[in-house]
Amino acid sequence: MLIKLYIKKLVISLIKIYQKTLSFDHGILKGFYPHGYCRFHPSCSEYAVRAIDKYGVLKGGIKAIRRIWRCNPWNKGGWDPVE
Amino acid sequence: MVHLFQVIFYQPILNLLIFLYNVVPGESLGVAIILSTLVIKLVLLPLSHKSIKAQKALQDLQPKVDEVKSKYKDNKEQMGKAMMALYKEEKINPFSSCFPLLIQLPFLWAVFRVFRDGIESNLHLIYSFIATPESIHNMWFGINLSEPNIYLAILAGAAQFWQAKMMVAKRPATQNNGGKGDSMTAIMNKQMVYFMPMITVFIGLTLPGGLTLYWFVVTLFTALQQILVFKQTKKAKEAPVVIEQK
Repeated sequence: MLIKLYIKKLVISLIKIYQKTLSFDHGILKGFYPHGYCRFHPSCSEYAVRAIDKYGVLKGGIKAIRRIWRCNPWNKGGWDPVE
Repeated sequence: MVHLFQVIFYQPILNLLIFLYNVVPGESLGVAIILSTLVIKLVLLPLSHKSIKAQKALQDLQPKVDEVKSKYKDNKEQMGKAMMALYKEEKINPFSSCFPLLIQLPFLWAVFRVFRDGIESNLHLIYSFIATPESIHNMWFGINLSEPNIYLAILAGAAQFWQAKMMVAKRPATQNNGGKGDSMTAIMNKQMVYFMPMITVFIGLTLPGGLTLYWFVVTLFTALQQILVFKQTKKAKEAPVVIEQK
Protein backbone atom coordinates (compact mmCIF):
# COMPACT_ATOMS: atom_id res chain seq x y z
CA MET A 1 0.00 0.00 0.00
CA LEU A 2 2.85 2.34 0.89
CA ILE A 3 4.50 1.73 -2.47
CA LYS A 4 1.29 2.81 -4.20
CA LEU A 5 1.43 6.08 -2.34
CA TYR A 6 5.04 6.59 -3.38
CA ILE A 7 4.25 5.94 -7.05
CA LYS A 8 1.37 8.39 -6.85
CA LYS A 9 3.58 11.06 -5.28
CA LEU A 10 6.25 10.42 -7.91
CA VAL A 11 3.84 10.73 -10.85
CA ILE A 12 2.30 13.90 -9.42
CA SER A 13 5.71 15.47 -8.88
CA LEU A 14 6.70 14.58 -12.47
CA ILE A 15 3.63 16.43 -13.74
CA LYS A 16 4.52 19.36 -11.47
CA ILE A 17 8.03 19.44 -12.95
CA TYR A 18 6.41 19.53 -16.41
CA GLN A 19 4.23 22.43 -15.24
CA LYS A 20 7.24 24.42 -14.03
CA THR A 21 9.31 23.84 -17.17
CA LEU A 22 7.64 22.97 -20.46
CA SER A 23 4.02 23.93 -19.82
CA PHE A 24 2.63 26.99 -21.60
CA ASP A 25 0.03 27.37 -18.87
CA HIS A 26 2.02 27.29 -15.64
CA GLY A 27 5.78 27.63 -15.95
CA ILE A 28 8.35 29.98 -17.42
CA LEU A 29 6.83 29.76 -20.91
CA LYS A 30 3.47 31.04 -19.66
CA GLY A 31 3.98 34.48 -21.23
CA PHE A 32 3.81 33.15 -24.77
CA TYR A 33 0.11 32.52 -24.40
CA PRO A 34 -1.44 35.40 -22.45
CA HIS A 35 -4.91 33.83 -22.28
CA GLY A 36 -3.50 30.41 -21.54
CA TYR A 37 -2.73 27.55 -23.87
CA CYS A 38 -5.14 24.80 -22.80
CA ARG A 39 -8.73 25.30 -23.88
CA PHE A 40 -10.06 23.89 -20.65
CA HIS A 41 -10.04 25.08 -17.11
CA PRO A 42 -8.38 23.70 -15.00
CA SER A 43 -5.64 22.97 -17.55
CA CYS A 44 -4.96 19.40 -18.63
CA SER A 45 -1.92 19.02 -16.38
CA GLU A 46 -3.75 20.45 -13.38
CA TYR A 47 -6.66 18.13 -14.15
CA ALA A 48 -4.22 15.21 -14.26
CA VAL A 49 -2.77 16.11 -10.85
CA ARG A 50 -6.23 16.32 -9.28
CA ALA A 51 -7.54 13.17 -11.00
CA ILE A 52 -4.51 11.11 -9.93
CA ASP A 53 -4.68 12.50 -6.42
CA LYS A 54 -8.33 11.53 -6.16
CA TYR A 55 -8.55 8.27 -8.13
CA GLY A 56 -4.99 6.92 -8.13
CA VAL A 57 -2.39 6.58 -10.85
CA LEU A 58 -4.25 4.07 -13.02
CA LYS A 59 -7.84 5.31 -12.95
CA GLY A 60 -6.85 8.94 -12.59
CA GLY A 61 -4.26 8.53 -15.32
CA ILE A 62 -6.88 7.18 -17.73
CA LYS A 63 -9.12 10.12 -16.87
CA ALA A 64 -6.23 12.47 -17.60
CA ILE A 65 -5.46 10.81 -20.96
CA ARG A 66 -9.12 11.09 -21.95
CA ARG A 67 -9.04 14.76 -21.01
CA ILE A 68 -5.98 15.38 -23.21
CA TRP A 69 -7.74 13.54 -26.02
CA ARG A 70 -10.69 15.90 -25.61
CA CYS A 71 -8.39 18.94 -25.66
CA ASN A 72 -8.28 19.17 -29.48
CA PRO A 73 -9.11 22.01 -31.89
CA TRP A 74 -12.64 20.69 -32.48
CA ASN A 75 -13.66 20.88 -28.86
CA LYS A 76 -15.17 24.03 -27.40
CA GLY A 77 -13.31 23.72 -24.11
CA GLY A 78 -14.32 25.63 -21.00
CA TRP A 79 -14.86 24.69 -17.38
CA ASP A 80 -14.24 20.99 -16.86
CA PRO A 81 -13.19 19.94 -13.35
CA VAL A 82 -12.47 16.40 -12.11
CA GLU A 83 -15.80 14.89 -11.16
CA MET B 1 4.02 0.82 -20.38
CA VAL B 2 7.50 1.01 -21.92
CA HIS B 3 6.65 -1.94 -24.14
CA LEU B 4 3.40 -0.30 -25.23
CA PHE B 5 5.27 2.85 -26.18
CA GLN B 6 7.72 0.76 -28.16
CA VAL B 7 4.94 -1.01 -30.09
CA ILE B 8 2.83 2.09 -30.74
CA PHE B 9 5.44 4.74 -31.55
CA TYR B 10 9.00 3.52 -31.64
CA GLN B 11 8.60 0.44 -33.80
CA PRO B 12 6.46 2.01 -36.57
CA ILE B 13 8.83 4.98 -36.86
CA LEU B 14 11.88 2.72 -36.98
CA ASN B 15 10.22 0.53 -39.61
CA LEU B 16 9.11 3.49 -41.68
CA LEU B 17 12.67 4.77 -41.67
CA ILE B 18 14.17 1.41 -42.65
CA PHE B 19 11.49 0.88 -45.31
CA LEU B 20 12.25 4.24 -46.93
CA TYR B 21 15.95 3.57 -46.59
CA ASN B 22 15.47 0.32 -48.52
CA VAL B 23 13.12 1.67 -51.17
CA VAL B 24 14.76 4.98 -52.07
CA PRO B 25 17.74 4.42 -54.35
CA GLY B 26 21.16 5.43 -53.10
CA GLU B 27 20.83 4.02 -49.56
CA SER B 28 20.69 7.48 -48.07
CA LEU B 29 19.69 7.82 -44.43
CA GLY B 30 19.32 11.58 -44.83
CA VAL B 31 16.70 11.23 -47.58
CA ALA B 32 14.95 8.52 -45.56
CA ILE B 33 14.73 10.90 -42.58
CA ILE B 34 13.30 13.71 -44.70
CA LEU B 35 10.70 11.43 -46.29
CA SER B 36 9.63 9.84 -43.00
CA THR B 37 9.29 13.33 -41.49
CA LEU B 38 6.98 14.17 -44.37
CA VAL B 39 4.90 11.06 -43.66
CA ILE B 40 4.63 11.88 -39.92
CA LYS B 41 3.70 15.46 -40.76
CA LEU B 42 1.00 14.23 -43.17
CA VAL B 43 -0.47 12.00 -40.46
CA LEU B 44 -0.71 15.00 -38.14
CA LEU B 45 -1.88 17.34 -40.92
CA PRO B 46 -5.55 17.79 -39.94
CA LEU B 47 -4.51 18.80 -36.42
CA SER B 48 -1.85 21.29 -37.44
CA HIS B 49 -4.02 22.73 -40.20
CA LYS B 50 -6.80 23.50 -37.76
CA SER B 51 -4.35 25.02 -35.25
CA ILE B 52 -2.66 27.31 -37.79
CA LYS B 53 -6.06 28.46 -39.05
CA ALA B 54 -7.16 29.30 -35.52
CA GLN B 55 -3.94 31.21 -34.86
CA LYS B 56 -4.39 33.16 -38.07
CA ALA B 57 -7.98 34.06 -37.21
CA LEU B 58 -6.79 35.27 -33.83
CA GLN B 59 -4.20 37.50 -35.46
CA ASP B 60 -6.68 39.01 -37.86
CA LEU B 61 -8.78 39.94 -34.88
CA GLN B 62 -5.90 41.79 -33.21
CA PRO B 63 -7.06 45.34 -34.13
CA LYS B 64 -10.41 44.70 -32.46
CA VAL B 65 -8.67 43.16 -29.45
CA ASP B 66 -6.47 46.24 -29.14
CA GLU B 67 -9.55 48.42 -29.32
CA VAL B 68 -11.17 46.53 -26.46
CA LYS B 69 -7.92 46.67 -24.49
CA SER B 70 -7.57 50.44 -24.74
CA LYS B 71 -11.26 50.94 -24.00
CA TYR B 72 -11.11 49.00 -20.73
CA LYS B 73 -7.51 49.57 -19.79
CA ASP B 74 -8.37 50.64 -16.23
CA ASN B 75 -10.64 47.71 -15.54
CA LYS B 76 -9.03 44.31 -16.00
CA GLU B 77 -12.16 42.34 -15.18
CA GLN B 78 -14.30 44.26 -17.64
CA MET B 79 -11.59 43.89 -20.25
CA GLY B 80 -11.52 40.11 -19.86
CA LYS B 81 -15.30 39.94 -20.17
CA ALA B 82 -15.37 42.18 -23.22
CA MET B 83 -12.64 40.11 -24.88
CA MET B 84 -14.47 36.87 -24.28
CA ALA B 85 -17.62 38.45 -25.74
CA LEU B 86 -15.63 39.54 -28.78
CA TYR B 87 -14.24 36.04 -29.32
CA LYS B 88 -17.70 34.58 -28.96
CA GLU B 89 -19.16 37.06 -31.40
CA GLU B 90 -16.47 36.30 -33.98
CA LYS B 91 -16.79 32.58 -33.29
CA ILE B 92 -13.09 32.30 -32.52
CA ASN B 93 -11.61 30.17 -29.79
CA PRO B 94 -8.53 32.00 -28.52
CA PHE B 95 -7.08 28.91 -26.88
CA SER B 96 -4.76 26.34 -28.29
CA SER B 97 -5.14 22.70 -27.34
CA CYS B 98 -3.01 20.17 -25.53
CA PHE B 99 -3.50 17.08 -27.68
CA PRO B 100 -1.73 18.30 -30.84
CA LEU B 101 1.19 19.47 -28.71
CA LEU B 102 1.48 16.37 -26.57
CA ILE B 103 1.05 13.87 -29.41
CA GLN B 104 4.26 15.27 -30.89
CA LEU B 105 6.29 14.53 -27.76
CA PRO B 106 6.19 10.71 -28.09
CA PHE B 107 7.03 11.07 -31.78
CA LEU B 108 10.00 13.23 -30.89
CA TRP B 109 11.10 10.81 -28.21
CA ALA B 110 10.76 7.84 -30.57
CA VAL B 111 12.77 9.58 -33.28
CA PHE B 112 15.35 10.54 -30.65
CA ARG B 113 15.69 6.92 -29.55
CA VAL B 114 15.99 5.69 -33.13
CA PHE B 115 19.09 7.85 -33.51
CA ARG B 116 20.47 7.62 -29.98
CA ASP B 117 20.50 3.83 -29.90
CA GLY B 118 21.63 3.54 -33.48
CA ILE B 119 19.60 1.56 -35.96
CA GLU B 120 21.95 -1.43 -35.96
CA SER B 121 21.24 -2.35 -32.35
CA ASN B 122 17.49 -2.55 -32.97
CA LEU B 123 17.27 -4.55 -36.15
CA HIS B 124 15.28 -7.29 -34.36
CA LEU B 125 12.39 -4.80 -34.05
CA ILE B 126 11.94 -4.57 -37.80
CA TYR B 127 8.73 -6.17 -39.06
CA SER B 128 9.11 -9.44 -40.94
CA PHE B 129 7.80 -8.01 -44.23
CA ILE B 130 10.47 -5.35 -44.37
CA ALA B 131 13.92 -6.32 -45.60
CA THR B 132 16.69 -5.89 -43.08
CA PRO B 133 19.56 -3.91 -44.55
CA GLU B 134 23.03 -5.33 -44.01
CA SER B 135 24.40 -2.03 -42.84
CA ILE B 136 23.21 1.55 -42.51
CA HIS B 137 25.26 4.37 -43.94
CA ASN B 138 25.22 7.19 -41.45
CA MET B 139 26.99 9.64 -43.70
CA TRP B 140 25.04 12.16 -45.75
CA PHE B 141 26.70 15.02 -47.66
CA GLY B 142 29.72 14.51 -45.44
CA ILE B 143 27.60 14.80 -42.29
CA ASN B 144 27.57 11.96 -39.76
CA LEU B 145 23.90 11.76 -38.77
CA SER B 146 24.58 9.87 -35.53
CA GLU B 147 26.72 12.70 -34.13
CA PRO B 148 25.83 16.31 -33.32
CA ASN B 149 26.33 18.66 -36.22
CA ILE B 150 26.62 22.44 -36.02
CA TYR B 151 25.32 23.16 -39.54
CA LEU B 152 22.12 21.20 -39.04
CA ALA B 153 21.61 22.93 -35.66
CA ILE B 154 21.96 26.36 -37.28
CA LEU B 155 19.62 25.34 -40.11
CA ALA B 156 17.01 24.19 -37.58
CA GLY B 157 17.33 27.49 -35.71
CA ALA B 158 17.06 29.48 -38.94
CA ALA B 159 13.90 27.61 -39.97
CA GLN B 160 12.39 28.27 -36.55
CA PHE B 161 13.25 31.96 -36.88
CA TRP B 162 11.59 32.16 -40.28
CA GLN B 163 8.47 30.37 -39.09
CA ALA B 164 8.04 32.51 -35.95
CA LYS B 165 8.82 35.72 -37.83
CA MET B 166 6.13 34.93 -40.38
CA MET B 167 3.53 34.37 -37.66
CA VAL B 168 4.39 37.62 -35.90
CA ALA B 169 4.84 39.75 -39.03
CA LYS B 170 1.18 39.22 -39.89
CA ARG B 171 0.14 41.15 -36.80
CA PRO B 172 -1.23 44.58 -37.62
CA ALA B 173 0.95 47.66 -37.26
CA THR B 174 -1.41 49.39 -34.81
CA GLN B 175 0.49 47.65 -32.05
CA ASN B 176 3.58 49.76 -32.56
CA ASN B 177 2.07 53.20 -32.17
CA GLY B 178 -0.90 52.14 -30.05
CA GLY B 179 -1.54 51.39 -26.40
CA LYS B 180 1.15 50.76 -23.83
CA GLY B 181 -0.58 47.64 -22.59
CA ASP B 182 0.61 45.82 -25.68
CA SER B 183 4.28 46.20 -24.90
CA MET B 184 4.11 42.90 -23.01
CA THR B 185 2.80 41.10 -26.08
CA ALA B 186 5.51 42.76 -28.16
CA ILE B 187 8.20 41.51 -25.77
CA MET B 188 6.79 38.01 -25.90
CA ASN B 189 6.70 38.11 -29.68
CA LYS B 190 10.33 39.19 -29.72
CA GLN B 191 11.24 36.30 -27.45
CA MET B 192 9.35 33.89 -29.65
CA VAL B 193 11.18 35.15 -32.72
CA TYR B 194 14.74 35.51 -31.37
CA PHE B 195 15.04 33.50 -28.17
CA MET B 196 13.42 30.22 -29.19
CA PRO B 197 15.54 29.76 -32.36
CA MET B 198 18.65 30.30 -30.24
CA ILE B 199 17.52 27.61 -27.83
CA THR B 200 16.87 25.35 -30.81
CA VAL B 201 20.46 25.84 -32.00
CA PHE B 202 21.91 25.08 -28.55
CA ILE B 203 19.77 21.99 -28.04
CA GLY B 204 20.48 20.93 -31.62
CA LEU B 205 24.20 21.03 -30.87
CA THR B 206 23.81 18.28 -28.28
CA LEU B 207 21.57 15.91 -30.27
CA PRO B 208 22.43 13.38 -32.98
CA GLY B 209 22.45 15.05 -36.41
CA GLY B 210 19.60 12.85 -37.63
CA LEU B 211 17.29 14.21 -34.95
CA THR B 212 18.29 17.80 -35.66
CA LEU B 213 17.63 17.13 -39.34
CA TYR B 214 14.17 15.83 -38.36
CA TRP B 215 13.52 19.00 -36.36
CA PHE B 216 14.70 21.20 -39.22
CA VAL B 217 12.43 19.46 -41.72
CA VAL B 218 9.41 19.57 -39.37
CA THR B 219 9.84 23.31 -38.86
CA LEU B 220 10.34 23.90 -42.57
CA PHE B 221 7.16 22.01 -43.43
CA THR B 222 5.23 23.90 -40.75
CA ALA B 223 6.41 27.19 -42.24
CA LEU B 224 5.37 26.13 -45.74
CA GLN B 225 2.02 24.99 -44.39
CA GLN B 226 1.59 28.42 -42.79
CA ILE B 227 2.17 30.09 -46.15
CA LEU B 228 -0.48 27.86 -47.70
CA VAL B 229 -3.06 28.46 -44.95
CA PHE B 230 -2.45 32.22 -45.01
CA LYS B 231 -2.99 32.25 -48.77
CA GLN B 232 -6.16 30.21 -48.46
CA THR B 233 -7.73 32.48 -45.85
CA LYS B 234 -6.76 35.52 -47.91
CA LYS B 235 -8.54 34.11 -50.94
CA ALA B 236 -11.60 33.24 -48.90
CA LYS B 237 -11.77 36.85 -47.74
CA GLU B 238 -11.34 38.35 -51.17
CA ALA B 239 -14.01 36.19 -52.73
CA PRO B 240 -17.13 38.06 -51.46
CA VAL B 241 -15.67 41.38 -52.66
CA VAL B 242 -15.41 40.02 -56.18
CA ILE B 243 -19.05 38.98 -56.12
CA GLU B 244 -20.13 42.44 -54.97
CA GLN B 245 -18.32 44.09 -57.83
CA LYS B 246 -20.29 42.11 -60.35
